[in-house]
Amino acid sequence: MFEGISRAIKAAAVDALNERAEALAELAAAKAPRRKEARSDRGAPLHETIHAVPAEQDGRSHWTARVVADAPHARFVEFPTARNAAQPFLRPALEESRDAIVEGVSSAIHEAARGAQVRSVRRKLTITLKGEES
Amino acid sequence: MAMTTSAPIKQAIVHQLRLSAPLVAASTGGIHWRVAPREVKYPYIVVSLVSAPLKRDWDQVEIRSVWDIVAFAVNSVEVEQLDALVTTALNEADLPVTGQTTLLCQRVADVPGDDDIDDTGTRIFQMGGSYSIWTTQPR
Repeated sequence: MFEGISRAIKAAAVDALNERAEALAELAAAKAPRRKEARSDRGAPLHETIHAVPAEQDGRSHWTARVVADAPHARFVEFPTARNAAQPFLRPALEESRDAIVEGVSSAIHEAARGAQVRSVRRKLTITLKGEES
Repeated sequence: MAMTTSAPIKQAIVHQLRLSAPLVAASTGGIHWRVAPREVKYPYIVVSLVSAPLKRDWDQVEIRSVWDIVAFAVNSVEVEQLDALVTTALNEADLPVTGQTTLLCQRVADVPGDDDIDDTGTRIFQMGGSYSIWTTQPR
């Protein structure tokens, strides 16, 4: 019974985490600075290289979803350099989304726990009723 | 009461850094906002705002700001010393922010930095940290 509940909760939490990571990637892409003119020698524009990596298990009870910017110059935009002022886009997106991520994952866990509990109570009732019949 | 923004937090950071005599002595190029002018000589410090989202409650406004404070110098030892001095000056400091009460002031991450070549062909080193500063003020 507990295994069933924990599996359902885990799946719901990971789904919610992935969903929030996608939303975070979209927000970061919206915040990424755009060049006025496209330059073919620089590859894809920064905002197009931002994406979420599906959550992976990292230790027994840790799941990590990542949002990455693949453009080689991404870190020189996010962090200051001696020549250029930083134009952070990933961390502001994370700071703005922090509460929504926590709330999204925790409400998914609560819903899954409630659903799994109801199912397990129903199953128990069926077994009890069957037992009474026999 | 008029709401204040991240501006007084920036002033408090610079003020706090300037209170440290060894830091002022070591950063001969000064403390700069976002990027240092080209003519500035190394070593120097750059302060920049990463984000400052507001969280409104019934009776107060909380600003959860993140700042990057990075040292630039022409040798790695100097840059490490400067970064350590910034950490000493700011980490867990009771930052006096005008119109706001400081809840938290902590170094939360290192800013990635490698050696680089600047516009004049000088090899430079950079090292710094991200600082989380949370303040509250009446709404």
